[in-house]
Amino acid sequence: MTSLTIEKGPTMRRYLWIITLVLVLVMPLLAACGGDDSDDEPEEADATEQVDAATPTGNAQAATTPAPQTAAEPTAEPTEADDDTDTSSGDNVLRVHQRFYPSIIDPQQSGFTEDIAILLLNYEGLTRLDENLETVPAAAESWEYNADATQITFTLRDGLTYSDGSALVAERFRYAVERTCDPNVAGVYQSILFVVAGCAELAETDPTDQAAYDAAIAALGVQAPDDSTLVVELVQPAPYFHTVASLWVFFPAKQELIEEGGDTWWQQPELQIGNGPFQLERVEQDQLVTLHANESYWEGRPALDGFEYIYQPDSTVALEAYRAGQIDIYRPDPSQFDAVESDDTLSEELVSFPNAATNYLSFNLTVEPFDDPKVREAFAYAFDRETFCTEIRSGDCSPTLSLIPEGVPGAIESDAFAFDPDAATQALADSTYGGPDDLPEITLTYVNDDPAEQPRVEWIAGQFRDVLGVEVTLEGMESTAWVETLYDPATRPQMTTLGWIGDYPDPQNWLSTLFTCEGVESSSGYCNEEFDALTDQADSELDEATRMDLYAQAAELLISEQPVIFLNNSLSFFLVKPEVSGYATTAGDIEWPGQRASMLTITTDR
Amino acid sequence: MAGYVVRRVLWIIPVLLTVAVITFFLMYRAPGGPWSDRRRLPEATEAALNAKFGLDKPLWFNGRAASDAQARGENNLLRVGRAYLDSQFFNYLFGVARGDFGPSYQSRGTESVQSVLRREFPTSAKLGLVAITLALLIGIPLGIVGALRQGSFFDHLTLILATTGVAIPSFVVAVLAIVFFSSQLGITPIRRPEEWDGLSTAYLLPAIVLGLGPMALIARLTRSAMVDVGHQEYIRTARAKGLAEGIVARRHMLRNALLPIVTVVGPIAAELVTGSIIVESIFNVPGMGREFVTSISARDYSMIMGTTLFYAFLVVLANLLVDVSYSFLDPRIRVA
Repeated sequence: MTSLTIEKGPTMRRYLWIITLVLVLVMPLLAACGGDDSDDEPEEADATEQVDAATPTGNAQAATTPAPQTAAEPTAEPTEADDDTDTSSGDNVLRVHQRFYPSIIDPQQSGFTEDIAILLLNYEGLTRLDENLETVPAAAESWEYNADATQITFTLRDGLTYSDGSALVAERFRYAVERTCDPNVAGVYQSILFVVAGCAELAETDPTDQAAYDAAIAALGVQAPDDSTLVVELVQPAPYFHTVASLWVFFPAKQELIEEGGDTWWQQPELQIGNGPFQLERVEQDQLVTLHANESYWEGRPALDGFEYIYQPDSTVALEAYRAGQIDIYRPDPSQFDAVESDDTLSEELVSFPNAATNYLSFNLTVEPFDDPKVREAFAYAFDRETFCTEIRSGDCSPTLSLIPEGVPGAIESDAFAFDPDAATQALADSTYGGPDDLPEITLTYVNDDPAEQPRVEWIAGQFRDVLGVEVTLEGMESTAWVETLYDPATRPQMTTLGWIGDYPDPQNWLSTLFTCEGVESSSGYCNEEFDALTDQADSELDEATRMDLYAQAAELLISEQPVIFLNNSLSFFLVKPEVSGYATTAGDIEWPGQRASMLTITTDR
Repeated sequence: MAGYVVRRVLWIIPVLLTVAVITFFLMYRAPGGPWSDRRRLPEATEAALNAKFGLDKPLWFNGRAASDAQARGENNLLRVGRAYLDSQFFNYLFGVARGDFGPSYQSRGTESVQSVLRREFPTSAKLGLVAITLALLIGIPLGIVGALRQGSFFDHLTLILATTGVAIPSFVVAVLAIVFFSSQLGITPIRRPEEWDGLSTAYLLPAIVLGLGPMALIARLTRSAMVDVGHQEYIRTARAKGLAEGIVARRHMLRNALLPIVTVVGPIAAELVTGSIIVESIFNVPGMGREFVTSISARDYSMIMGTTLFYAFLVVLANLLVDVSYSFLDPRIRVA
């Protein structure tokens, strides 16, 4: 067992031993109390006052991003990676609150938004997304598909370096692909590269069979013929692949440093030498992650000197820290919306924008009664999405009737199956059940980890009872157990609420990834050959207009079939200090406004 | 005495084994596993991960491996037996015997459980020790005064304090404390990581919150034990001998009243030094309290086993210390 020394006391004849022990333990504490409190902080007052003067916060998000301020910072520049004692080397440091600490900070293993929020600052892929979520050159200055889009050739910029000045060559990106597909690594997002030739085969190789493993690596369809060229072979036409190349799995962490650090290399910032606008500096488990500006970033250093993620799981404490001026950006919990909106200062500092996330009510189509499309239609008509978002979810979502959220390429407008109680009862009457009375028992399964979910599902059940006259039983489940039920039609809940956050802004990541016969939602029993034919064709179509048109047809087909009821898109709400400026938001900004497209321009003048 | 302690220490082994069996059994009753995710891993990937961490082996006994070994003509009973025990449970136990508590699956198996606990336990232990010290320092005197001045204003005050201490959940007290200290005194709500190095003032507030419940319990316990002892014949004798009231209280009452207090302090100390998820997350304390909770929802099997066994070990150890201390407190109790 770990060290636990049992102190042998003197002959403890009396109860006095307790007092002695107490004194020994408390002495250092009392001594420490004498020292001055190291924080010099009471600045919450000025933070509150300043706002009225400088109001244009709420619309700052809409402001066009100012041109990247090149290193014209008056505040000297003590930041050259060599001083690790001083935590905040420059003054212009953005402090962003995070609720959850990453489970792992490793480009080829991470999968959660809080992990990726760090990786996106520290590294950069071959491409990246701009403020319109369009894919633009990053480490690669250009790319080219072959005639049938089964091969893509990236050309890297000249003179690319890591933050430590070492050269960044195409081989680094080849290694990133190899490591993603490696069965020894087996990250959450491994399968996103299965479109690369040989990746799935490598992933399925038994790593203990050295010969087979070596052969699979050699057969992987990625080559770096020279320092500035990366050629990727694809198993099928994939004209969206340049967008996949912006994902974290492509981030070029250095092979020799990963091997040097072993399994826990990712906890050591000195091994996480990156090519992004910032460079990791401190990694303090569950508490703090800091980065400093990368002076050798190819596009010029960011306007900020440094960046801090401050972790605090409790929303009340985090809001208090925001008020006290300890953090600059905080995402309030829905339970705090009322308090924020009724506060003169905070309501002025609220920034909101839609997210690339869609929530829906999912059915098991293999069991009664939702195998009957008319029953699904009835439930779709019966759902008052507007009231659900504004009143039940305190406004943290906006109603939708289609899959792909507005602002993401491939989004379509639809007004089918909007809330209509008469149409709902009519649809139920038209079903094989003829009305509510002959329906089998219906259960709505939900995740009860968060107590706030209970009143929401109760409202949903009430909605179906009021409109359709159907009694819905509620069943709460712990999240991991619930996820497990989703894998198989035999265990899949009759009805449950689900959501999808886009990994990259391409309709393929929504329509094909979710609803094809092999897709994430296929265990609901949804498999439509016509839909698959449309998405297959779209996935490999080279002409952008034709491709989008095919996806639109698939999206319309999905709506007409209602394998799920589309409910809403999530809205992001952030409190942003008025001193923060120079950012534009995108639907991909999950952790902070400006996360995707404004890393170089966002700044604070605190 | 030495023989008694040795016997008790040896008893720790079967106790921990029982805890391990029960935890392991319950843990695997819960659906899902460490790789459960909305975006399901491809089957081959999941199989590779399971094989890498030995999660593909049978839970308790590996009958197949044993019969395979026999079929190969393996006659060495030890080897057949080892093959039979090539299961998740026994491999875990063998690992523990070697000091390897397995990989923490929350970090996708990159960090070992012992390395997580080695990093986080000292902070929790420091906080817990300060908390229990404060609880004793304040709780015992409160109880004594309450007992000596029964029915007085002070006695009622103690009762009120004690009841509130037990009744108000620590997350309410913790959040109130943070909000109060932040808005009134300008103390930053979120501490910097370096403030937890050594034993700094940062520990004071969370320790008070953490120690409030135990303090209340100790105060009430002290009071009732003191009152109880006060009715004993030997106290009347002591008073009849003409001893000063102060000496009666200290030497005869408190000393005897300490027994029940020491009894509860052992397990409470074991609980406090292993951290509390609520206090630790609200005060940003980098301790191990959260591991008890997050490991369960993440199905981090080795972390669930590690934290449970570690906690069980500390409880058993604390109880042993308590039992040994009885013989110092009360000469009538002889351990042999």
